[in-house]
Amino acid sequence: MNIWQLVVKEISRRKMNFSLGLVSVVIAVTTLMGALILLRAHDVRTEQIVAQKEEETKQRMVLMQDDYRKIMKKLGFNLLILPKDQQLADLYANDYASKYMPEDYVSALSASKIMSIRHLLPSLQQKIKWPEKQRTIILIGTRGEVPFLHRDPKEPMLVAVPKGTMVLGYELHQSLNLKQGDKVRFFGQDFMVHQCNEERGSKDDISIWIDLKQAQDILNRPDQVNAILALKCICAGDDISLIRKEITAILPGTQVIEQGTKVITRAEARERAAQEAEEAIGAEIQNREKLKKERETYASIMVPLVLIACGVWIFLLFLSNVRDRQSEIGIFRAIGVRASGILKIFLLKALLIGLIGGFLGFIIGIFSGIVFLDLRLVLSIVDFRFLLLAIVLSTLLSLLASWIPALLASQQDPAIVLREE
Amino acid sequence: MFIMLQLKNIYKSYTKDNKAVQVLNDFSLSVKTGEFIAVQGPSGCGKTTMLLTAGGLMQPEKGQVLIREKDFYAMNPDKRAVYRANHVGFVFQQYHLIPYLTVLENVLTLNLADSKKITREKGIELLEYLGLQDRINHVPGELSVGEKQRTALARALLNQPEILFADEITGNLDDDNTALVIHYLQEYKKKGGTILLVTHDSQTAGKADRIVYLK
Ligand SMILES: Nc1ncnc2c1ncn2[C@@H]1O[C@H](COP(=O)(O)OP(=O)(O)OP(=O)(O)O)[C@@H](O)[C@H]1O
Ligand SMILES: [Mg+2]
Repeated sequence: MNIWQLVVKEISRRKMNFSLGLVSVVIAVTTLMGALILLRAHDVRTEQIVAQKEEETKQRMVLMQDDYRKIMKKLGFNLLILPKDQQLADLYANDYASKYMPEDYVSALSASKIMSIRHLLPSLQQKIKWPEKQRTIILIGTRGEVPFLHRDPKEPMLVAVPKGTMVLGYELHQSLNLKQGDKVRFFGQDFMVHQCNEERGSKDDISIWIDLKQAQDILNRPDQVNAILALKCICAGDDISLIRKEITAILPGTQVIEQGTKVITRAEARERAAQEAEEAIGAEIQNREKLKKERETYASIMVPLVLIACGVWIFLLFLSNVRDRQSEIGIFRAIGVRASGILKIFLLKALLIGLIGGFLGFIIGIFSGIVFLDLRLVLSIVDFRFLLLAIVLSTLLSLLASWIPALLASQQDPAIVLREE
Repeated sequence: MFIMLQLKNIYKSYTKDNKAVQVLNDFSLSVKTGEFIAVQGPSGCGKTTMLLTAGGLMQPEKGQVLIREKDFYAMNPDKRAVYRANHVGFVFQQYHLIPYLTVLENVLTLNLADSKKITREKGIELLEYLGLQDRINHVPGELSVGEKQRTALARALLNQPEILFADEITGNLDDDNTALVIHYLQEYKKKGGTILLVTHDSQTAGKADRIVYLK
């Protein structure tokens, strides 16, 4: 008979005390395992949700991009083709181009295979003094042919103007008191007023549109233009830099500016959508974080509380066990068992409760995790460290809780029990 | 003849309600090796106190306990325990058997102490000698009082102690069982054992070599 055998015999023949201690440890460990599994599961779920949301967003962005591409394909680009040496700063400052390129470029472009161009509108523009009226005007010679531009008065006037007629900007027909059908001298030629424009509040108000050929004659720029507006270009890709490269390959000495604010707007919308999606994911992550904090707080209160309660319970069980075994302790001391031997008897029992309880708590914790969550999730979370933690913690709990009762037992004066009759 | 045990001017008191109750007052006793001494005296006179003090389980306030001429209380508690495990046997009126262990297991609990290893066979042999061969695997709850007391006696004798302390061990027993226990004590004495037996029964005390009266 050694101490281990004694402890095992005591446990096996007095199951109640041992079982109650075991239940307590199992509850403590199960609670801890449950809390750990739940918190880890929360993290895993968060990762899954965020990954899923990101995938959804990505797919939506791909769809959106596809939509935009289709829409843009249908609408096409508006491109402004200018002589290469045209300073853009001057263009924006003067509202017209001041450099020139051959009018032939238009046909070269339309003959190319790079894109189908619905409308190519060459124009020749220049600021000039109207000698007959002593007025500074912007003369625009056009060969325009875009009928639906009429519907939008804000669009630049690039309509074909019949030879020998002119279209007058608002300020001009107002101040010169001219009406449609009036005759007027212009650079020594007779012109009929073809149309009087509405007020636009731009340089258009002091512009005069005439036939391109006549403008070239007046400005002494035969067969020259200073801008080609390519409207509704339909092209395979939607990459402006690619188109730009292709155009400048056909028309050396030009530069291409994208006029399509719609494209920019769409790109911005797309950006915004992406940003919103990102913010939504961020909010989701934050929400999950908050939930996790709450759960952690709950666990950080709950688990220690359960541990303490179980510790107290084990303490009381051992205290009662020690009381029940006073006579046993007394006779053991009388036959020569040392105080440390008595301590061992109780601590070994506590160790057994801790080890068995820790293992059972681990199993039950996993099992309840499987019941409340799911098998694969729990198996992906739990590893040997959980078992290690369960057993170390349960053993510590059991040993700590039984330490004082065991110490009391070992310090008990054997004479007190042995004297009783 | 050697002196096995010597109590020299022992003083022992208990404090109850802050008042000291003097139990042993300058008590002295000398026990020779192989001597069978019966201790008698009125209830509450301090017989059990004297026995526990002599057995190294209760330190007196004053006086010396010499066991084999060694000062028992000069040893530290663990040394005293080891000494008890190897040289001393105790039997009490209340048997103090471990309720969840069988008769044989109870006897073998001696191995929990720092004594020489006691084998199962030796345990069974002693139990057979004490007439308990049919009770080896019974737990104390299943035994008669006589069997309980013989089990306790077996546990006390198994390490072949030099001295046996027995406190009212026949107090619960009928005449037959009392006679049986006394028989075993005398057998133990024949083999050289020393006995200090506390009893209020004059017939039992009469079997001793000497009777000591405690007042
Ligand atoms: N812990 C204690 N506190 C106070 N008094 C005590 C204590 N233990 C014992 N006593 C007293 O000490 C005295 C001696 O007790 P002890 O048990 O040694 O007597 P005893 O001679 O063995 O008596 P009995 O014949 O009834 O067994 C008794 O009067 C008892 O009341
Ligand atoms: Mg007594």
